[in-house]
Amino acid sequence: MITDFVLELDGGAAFAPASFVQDDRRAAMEAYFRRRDQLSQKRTLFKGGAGVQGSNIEVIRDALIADMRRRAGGKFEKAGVLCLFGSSNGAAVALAMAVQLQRELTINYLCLADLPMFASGRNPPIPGIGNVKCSDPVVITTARSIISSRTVSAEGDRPSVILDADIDAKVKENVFQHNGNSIKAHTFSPGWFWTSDMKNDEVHGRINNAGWRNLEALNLTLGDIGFFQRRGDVFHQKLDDFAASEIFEKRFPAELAKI
Amino acid sequence: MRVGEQAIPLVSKLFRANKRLQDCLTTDSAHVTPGSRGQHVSLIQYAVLSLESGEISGVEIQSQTYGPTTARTVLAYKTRRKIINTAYQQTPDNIVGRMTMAALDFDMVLAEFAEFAQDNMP
Repeated sequence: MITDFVLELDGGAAFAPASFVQDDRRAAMEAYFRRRDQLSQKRTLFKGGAGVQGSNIEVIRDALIADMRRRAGGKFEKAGVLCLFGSSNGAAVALAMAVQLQRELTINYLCLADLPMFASGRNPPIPGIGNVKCSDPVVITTARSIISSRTVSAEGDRPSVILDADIDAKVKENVFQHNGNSIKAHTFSPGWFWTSDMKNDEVHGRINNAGWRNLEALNLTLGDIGFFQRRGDVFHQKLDDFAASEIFEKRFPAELAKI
Repeated sequence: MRVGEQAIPLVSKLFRANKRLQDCLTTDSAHVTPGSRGQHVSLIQYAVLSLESGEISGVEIQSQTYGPTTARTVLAYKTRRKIINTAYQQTPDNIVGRMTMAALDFDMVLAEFAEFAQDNMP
């Protein structure tokens, strides 16, 4: 039996086993089921989501894959399709899962929203992907202060990373926002680096490996911000909401239907 | 500063390792003025932009140069903080001397403490 999977990984929610629905025939999934009927194959679809907060990506990845494998009857079929969406830490987990599953399943769509990047790299690194150490700013056209924030924004280029591994997926999209990023001067060497007011100075930007489509969300607005809220967190959450509704809900059914 | 008087060194995380700025605190000839270049200028640019409303051109940021837009932002900071050497001035100037350096360091310590508190808030 061929098993297809659609999985949403939410980096903002505590790690818990994925909740899957089998053969969910809601309206948006019509194209997939129509195509499945055309093929006259015995296929099963599991669509679900999981909270994946936590730094031990290896443990999270292995638990999720073990659950998927069990649902597939103990063994994946390469004809089975996987669509993966991860936001924030979920993007890091999605990458780790994609590296692991690319030989066992056909990855139709891999979409990341605000993959966390760090000027000094991620420790521990993402298994199979590396530490996603981001570039320093190369082109700065203007640096300006931000009202009600002790950070400095920069217009010019964007933070970027190169992943250690290429991933075999038909469509790879990286959605990010730059509004929450800021810059700071190095104290021990010349130049500037990317930072933010988020915990661990997390920033977001481009993936420069071949085959990745980078999409920057340009229309996010800060709106009201609470006294204890951080600007970076607010924009990060808004990007997550945007990506979950626009990409996970709308793009996924279309990419999944390409079986 | 009088002979025998010892300046308190810069203590903020941003400035404390920079000898050029430590010198600025004690030596008139080490004041940072328009035309200065180097890493110490980047640190001043970051400090004034994070403490004061303003904008600095990318050319000055990337070349680490104390140009007109850096000077304008420093002047805005000094005006708001009323940093004036009343011995010979009635209005602030746009250079970073001893008083400005001490004020920037003090404000950065507060900013760094606020950041630390926020990071470690339960």
